[in-house]
Amino acid sequence: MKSIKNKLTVATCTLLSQQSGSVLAIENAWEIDNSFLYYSEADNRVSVAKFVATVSGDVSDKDRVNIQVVLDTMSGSTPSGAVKTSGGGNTVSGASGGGGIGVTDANANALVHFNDTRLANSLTWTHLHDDNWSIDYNAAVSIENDYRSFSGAVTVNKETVKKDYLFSFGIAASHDEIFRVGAGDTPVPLSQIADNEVAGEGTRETIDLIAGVTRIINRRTVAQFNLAYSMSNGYHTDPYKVFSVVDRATNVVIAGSSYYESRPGDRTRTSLTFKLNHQLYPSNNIIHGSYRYYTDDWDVDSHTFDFNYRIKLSDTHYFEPRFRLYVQSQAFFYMNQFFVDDAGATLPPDFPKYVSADYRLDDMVSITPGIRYGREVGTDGHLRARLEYMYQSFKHSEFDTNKAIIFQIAYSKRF
Amino acid sequence: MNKFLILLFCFLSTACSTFTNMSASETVKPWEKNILAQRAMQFPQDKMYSFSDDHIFFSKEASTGGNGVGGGGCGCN
Repeated sequence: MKSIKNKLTVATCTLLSQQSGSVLAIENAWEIDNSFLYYSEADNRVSVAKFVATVSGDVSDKDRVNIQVVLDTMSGSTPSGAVKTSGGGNTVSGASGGGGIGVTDANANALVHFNDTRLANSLTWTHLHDDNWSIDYNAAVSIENDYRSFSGAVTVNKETVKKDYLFSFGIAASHDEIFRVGAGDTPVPLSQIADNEVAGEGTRETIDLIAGVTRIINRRTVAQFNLAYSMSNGYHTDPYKVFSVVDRATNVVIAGSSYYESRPGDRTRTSLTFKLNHQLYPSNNIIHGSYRYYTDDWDVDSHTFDFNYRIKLSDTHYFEPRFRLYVQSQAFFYMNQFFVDDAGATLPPDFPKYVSADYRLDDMVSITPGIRYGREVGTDGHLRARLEYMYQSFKHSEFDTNKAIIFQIAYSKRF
Repeated sequence: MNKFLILLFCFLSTACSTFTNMSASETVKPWEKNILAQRAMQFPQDKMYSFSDDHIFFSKEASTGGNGVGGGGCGCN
C-alpha cells in the first residue's frame, strides 16, 4: 500500500510541476528530434529536401533551451507569372535561388528553373518564473542565396492556479533582406525585363503579435484560441515574378511585353485560430481539429480546416488519417495577365500601381489528404512517418493546378 | 484596424461563451490529467510536423499565422 501511495505522490508532483508552454507534457531532461522531409511537385516543378535537427533540454531547474538547425535544398521549375507562348521565350533570371541565364528575350518563359539552398538556425530559451509564469525568448536567422532573415521573439505564458487556463502573449520582430542571386539587386517594379532596370536590395520589417488562451475543458478535451496580428513594411515584391501584356481581342501576348511585378509596400494580416483535441471513450482514439480564419489588407481572405484522427492500433503504435482544406480569395492586384485593347499601342501601357501574376495570390482551393503512422521505439523513442498529397486548384492562373507529394520521417528520443 | 477590432471582439465573445457554457466542462484535478498529459493532446500535437507544415503552406498559399511567433522567414517559391 505504501508503494502505491508513493507512486501516486510522485505522479501528482510530476503533473503539478509541468511547464505551461507545453502545458501538460511530462518533459524529460533532454530530447532530440530529427526529421527528413521530401516535397515534390508534379510536372517537374519544385522539389525540396528538408533536414531538421532539434535538441532541447533543461539547463537548470528553471531554464530550458531548444536549438534547431534546418537545411533545405530546393530545385526545379516554378511559374514566373508570364503566360505561355507557343514560340516560347527565355528565362527572366531564375526564381528564388537563381540559376537563371539572364535576360535574352523580351518575353519570359512561363516556367523558370532554379536551385537554392537554405540554412536556418533557431535558439529558444524558456525561463520559469514563480506563480506559474514562464517566458520564451527566441532568436532565429535564415540564409539563402537570395534572402536573409533575422528575427527575435518573446512569448509570455501565465497559467492559472488550478492549471486549467493558460494565457499566452507573444511578440516578434523580423528584418528580411531580399535580392536576386548573383547581382544582389532587385528589378524596378513594372519595368520591362529586357530593359534591365535595377534597384538596390529590398528590405522588409515585420512585427507579429499573438494572444492565445488554452483551456482544459474536461479530462478528455482541451481547446485553444489564438488571435494573431502582423504588420510588415518594406519590400514585398517578388524580384523574380513577371506578368505579360495581352491583346484582349485576340488573347495573344504582345511581343516584348514581359514586365516585373509590383506589390504594395506594406501588409497587415489578422487571423483567428481555434483548435480542439479530444480523446474518445472507450476507444481512446484522438480527434484533432482546427479552423483558422485569415484576412489581410491585400483583400486575401481564407478559411483553413485541418482534421486528423489518431487510431490507436496498440499502446505503442497508431495510424492517423489527415485531411486539410484551404480556401482563399485573390489579392486585389492579382491578374493572370494585363489586357490592352490596342495591340499597336506604345508600350508600356498605363499600368495600375500594383500588378502581380503570382499564382499564390489567385483565388485558390487546396486539399491535402494524407496518412500518418507512428510507433514507440525502445525506451522513450518515437518514430513516425507521413505521406500526404497536396492538390491546389486556381481560378485564373496560367497553371490551373499544382500537385505535390509530401513525405516525412522523423525520430525523437528523450534522455 | 477596424477588422482587427471586430475580430478581437468576436474572439473574446466566442472564447468566453465556449469556455463558460460548454456543457461538458468540468474541473480536472491534477491526478486526473493522465490523458491530457499525452503528447498527442498538446498544441501542436507534433512540433516537427507543425513546423514543416508551416513552411510548406507559407510557401504555397497567401495566408500564414496562428501558430505562434518567432522563427526565420524565407524567400520560398
